[in-house]
Amino acid sequence: MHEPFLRYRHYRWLKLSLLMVLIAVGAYFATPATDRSGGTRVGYALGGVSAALMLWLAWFGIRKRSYRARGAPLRGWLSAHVYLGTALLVLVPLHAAFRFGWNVHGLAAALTVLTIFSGLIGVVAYASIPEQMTQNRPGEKLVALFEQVGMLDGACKELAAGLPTPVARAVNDSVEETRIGGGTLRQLAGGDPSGPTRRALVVVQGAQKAETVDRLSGDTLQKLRANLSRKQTLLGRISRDLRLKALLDVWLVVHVPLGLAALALVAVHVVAVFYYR
Amino acid sequence: MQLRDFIGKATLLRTEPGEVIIKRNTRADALYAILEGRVTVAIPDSDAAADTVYGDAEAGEPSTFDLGPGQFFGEMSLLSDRLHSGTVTAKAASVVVWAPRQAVITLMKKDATVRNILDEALVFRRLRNLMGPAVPNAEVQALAKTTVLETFEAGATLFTEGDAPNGLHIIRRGSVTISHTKNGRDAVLAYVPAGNVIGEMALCAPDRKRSATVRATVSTETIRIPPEAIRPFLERHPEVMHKVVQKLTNDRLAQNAARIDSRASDVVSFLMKVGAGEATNILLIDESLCVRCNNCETACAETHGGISRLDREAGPTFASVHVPTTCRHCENPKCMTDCPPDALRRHPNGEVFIMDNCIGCGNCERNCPYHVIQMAPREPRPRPNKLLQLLFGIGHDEGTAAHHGSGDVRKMAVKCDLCREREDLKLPGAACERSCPTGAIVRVDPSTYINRIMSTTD
Repeated sequence: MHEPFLRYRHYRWLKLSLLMVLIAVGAYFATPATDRSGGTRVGYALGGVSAALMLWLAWFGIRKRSYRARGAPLRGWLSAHVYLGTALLVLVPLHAAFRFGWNVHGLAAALTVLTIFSGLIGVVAYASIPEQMTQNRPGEKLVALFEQVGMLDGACKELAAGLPTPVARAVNDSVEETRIGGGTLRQLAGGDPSGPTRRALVVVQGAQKAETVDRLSGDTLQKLRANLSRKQTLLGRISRDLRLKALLDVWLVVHVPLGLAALALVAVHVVAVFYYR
Repeated sequence: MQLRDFIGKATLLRTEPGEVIIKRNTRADALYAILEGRVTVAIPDSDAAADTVYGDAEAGEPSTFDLGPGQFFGEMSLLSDRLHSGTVTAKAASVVVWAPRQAVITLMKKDATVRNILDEALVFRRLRNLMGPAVPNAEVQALAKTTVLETFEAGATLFTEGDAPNGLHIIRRGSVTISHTKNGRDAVLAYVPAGNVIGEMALCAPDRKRSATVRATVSTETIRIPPEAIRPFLERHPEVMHKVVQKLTNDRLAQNAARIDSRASDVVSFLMKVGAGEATNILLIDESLCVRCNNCETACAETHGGISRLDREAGPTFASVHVPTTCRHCENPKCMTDCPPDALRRHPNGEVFIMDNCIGCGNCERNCPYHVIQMAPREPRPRPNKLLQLLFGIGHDEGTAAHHGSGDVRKMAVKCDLCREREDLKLPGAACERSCPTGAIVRVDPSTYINRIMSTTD
């Protein structure tokens, strides 16, 4: 029923990309070995096609936001974006006849290749992370998890009100000092936000063992312990969710600027080639 | 008097040969009766052909029959509230009476004869289709006359595994699930929508018991042919017994054996539990494909004045099937029950929509069991200029709330309208589905979806 983008229309774009690569390889080897370079007819053709492809690949950013577009659905575009983009890994070296130098031309090629690899990382992330996210948080909104933490905090504070100062303080710290999320790097690191809660749990467990505990506060401590444990589990799930989402998105932060830089360098490369010919 | 009312609402259609009168998979808006000419009805054999996503599935060879003056068509879909199962084309230049759905339903409610005639036609055609050409019309008609109309509330049991058979059921309206208990666990074997026949297995042998339990997923009506009528008939026609009943039974047995432990069966149980049985068009997300980019919500908001009618995250999930919070266009919409200005309407394609005369009372929002209706400001905010937004941050972000200013804002009820606005602009498909980069989201008729997942055994 669902048509994953990689399988769009029975792998239409994979087939077309392979065909394009085959034609390019054929044209390359049809040229005499001594004549192979970016300056031959085949070389210009390969370069022209690659540059046009890069412009078209960058257009995906616009198409993604065109909600009134006709023609193929977005999954078709992404399918083509992935397969045609990957084909550049062959087209670019063929255009350069496998000669790369430490100059602006080499930099253009390097940025192009890096962009493609960052995109491939995205494909891998898209294939593996969504399922982990579902397992971690099936059918619940992230907001709902935060609300549950809020409710547990309220309940913990109430329970701790009548307990000895160290316990009350530890619980208060768990409420006040829990920090979740933060910048992208912190989210990616997935730091454990449950430190204060864990410390509070240790204090509560210690208090439970103390000999002075009467039955009433014993019950309260037990409830407190249960609430804090639940909060600890919830915090773990929240930080895991944030980490997975950050992993799902972070490649794009690299892919897009790299892609734009590659386009700019390709423009410089083209101007340089024709100006200094 | 009733008839005069009815005739007043009906109109005459003149059709040229080859003109399509009813298109398959559209919603019943009327009953058609032939005054002059001939029409051909073509019903594909395989319902698997009803594929809304790929659109290139091979349809089975359709079975066709002709109808002439005095006969009517379109009753099956009208009675069951389902999409048309076949295509009707004029064979010769014809004159057809077109009677709107509401007029037919009113007449049926008031006049038992009309109801009986339509029911008999439904039963006759369904049986005719099932029995094959060898059985004479008169016998099929006689069988059709023995039927009993039965009504079941949502969740009620039509029959239970191990019961003595009480005949053959033709589902007139609603839908059922067939399930089997194994190791104390109820496994759903099939979802059967209106227009189909169930209970044939127990007819194979006189001492055979019901092999599965059948429950109504929504309020359901069936037309039952009692065993005392169907048994002698089958004895007189061993070829029907052999070809039809046994084939049906074997097919179903094979399917059932394959499905009893499959994940598909659990998914169907889940879908029924969350109310997909009463949906005509449901949004489903495959969470193993969803990259949580929210482009579906943004696309929805961009199509509807800045307010998304879809909450992607909210809603139940089972395995990787997620049912987001958005309208399912129920067969019997509860939102429509108490609308003072009668602003909630139903389009022939099944869509339930809200008209501009909504007074913002919020009744529909409260009546919807799936919380898919929200109250939103009447005047949407103008679309932002993308370039200004990008370069200078002028204007609101794409897909954010359209509400501007505070204080007294006139509100109206809004919900998914299957992208009517896009339809007017001749844009294809629903914005959410078309804007999903990975193909995770589908808007689909639940029975098509269930048939599809049930036919791919894993």
